[in-house]
Amino acid sequence: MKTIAEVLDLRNSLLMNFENAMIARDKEEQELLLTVVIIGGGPSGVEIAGALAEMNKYVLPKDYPEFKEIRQKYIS
Amino acid sequence: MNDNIYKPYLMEIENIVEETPDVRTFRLRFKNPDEAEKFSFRAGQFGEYSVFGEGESTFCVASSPTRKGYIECTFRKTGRVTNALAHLETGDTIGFRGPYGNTFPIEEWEGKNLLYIAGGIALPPMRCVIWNTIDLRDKYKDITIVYGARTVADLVYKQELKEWEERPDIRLITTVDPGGQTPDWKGETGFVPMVLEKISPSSLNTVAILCGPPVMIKFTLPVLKKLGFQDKDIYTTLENRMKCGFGKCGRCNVGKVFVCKDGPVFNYEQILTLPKSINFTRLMINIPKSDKKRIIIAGCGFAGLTLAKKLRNKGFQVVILDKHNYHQFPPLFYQVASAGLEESSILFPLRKIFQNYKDFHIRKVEIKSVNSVSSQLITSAGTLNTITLFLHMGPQIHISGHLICRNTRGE
Repeated sequence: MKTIAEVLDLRNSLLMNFENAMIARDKEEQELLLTVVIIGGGPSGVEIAGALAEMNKYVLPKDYPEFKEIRQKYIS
Repeated sequence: MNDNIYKPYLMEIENIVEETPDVRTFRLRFKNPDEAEKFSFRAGQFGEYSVFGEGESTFCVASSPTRKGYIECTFRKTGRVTNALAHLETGDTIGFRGPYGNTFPIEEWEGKNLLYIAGGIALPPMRCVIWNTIDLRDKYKDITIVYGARTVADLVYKQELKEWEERPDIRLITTVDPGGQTPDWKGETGFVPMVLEKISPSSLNTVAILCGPPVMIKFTLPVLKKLGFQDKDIYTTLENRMKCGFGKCGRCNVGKVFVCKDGPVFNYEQILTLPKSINFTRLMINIPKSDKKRIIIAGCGFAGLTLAKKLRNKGFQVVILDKHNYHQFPPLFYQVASAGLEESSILFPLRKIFQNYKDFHIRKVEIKSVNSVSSQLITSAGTLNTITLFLHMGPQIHISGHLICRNTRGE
């Protein structure tokens, strides 16, 4: 994440992954689309991890009620 | 093959054929006759075509290796390079490097029947192997070509289709999607899988070569299976996944396979071993079954949104389909275009709007067609059985007849 273009790209692909997970063929693929790997734990990495966790807790349950079972899983 | 695989040949455009308004075929000759002498390729291989100052683009060689001295390529205007190619004229020079990739195993097919199935712009990657096998006609038994396009105007290689049609030793079936026919259209009307089911070619001693848009492949494979084709006898070419040409840039790899090096030709048995991302039957619409009546709203613009809001708590299962996951407010497009507003001010995420609506399902898909007989709706992610369907597709932009019309990407 170094430019605005990259940031917007990232946001779009994140949101598109959620949408594609809704029409995924099976659980395995859905999980694939809902897994986010953050590489680098500097200020940006930590902030985005926090923001994603917040999103996971407050936004996704409302926007995607169908995701119930897979939510709340962290890999570290 | 050039001694240096990175070095392009200089090619002169000898002839240009306008296949459809946005599809062109170039016939290219080597500037250097020695290179033309040394050059050889096989059916199914591809090359990189470069426009100086713009970049390169990958597509299969569309002419047959049995026709020496020149190569042909067919492309559709879609991006920067193909647009630049489209502006070139006879006599201009472009670069070509290749051939790369594997080939159709036409020797293994000798003595067999061949069934070619192509949709839309996917005929060009198959034209090479079609002509190759036609030029070696004695070695093969029946040759059947099934070719479909959206409309009559979208059929490419019209001249050759005519030639194939007239030949007694080739069976050619052309079809256009319902609504795409002209009054004097003599071919079939209907989608490729349905036409294929209708003509039911025998799978006995037959190889099927299938290439087309994913949705066509998705619905054609079950038909081929039903006709008794084995996975190993169904071939396809994954042309769309390639970039640099020799597996160096890493854009073409699918799992362990590099499409540029190990492909682009695969049989379906091999494709099934690849990770799912390339599997044609990937998507599922995933709408839970319910005892409630199902209402599908296709398109969530003003009308769709109003309807959906009124259906809250009325005891229906409501499915909202839209190609975007947001509702938009087009009357203010001009504000965004003139930098007066941010796009977030006129876009409203559907999921946000319907957060507290029970049994509302939103899917970001495109509608492919409606089957009114079986009351099914065919989308880019699969088929839905409908009870009631409301279509809110909006108007089509009509710009035909104006000579100088370009979108912001310069197409």
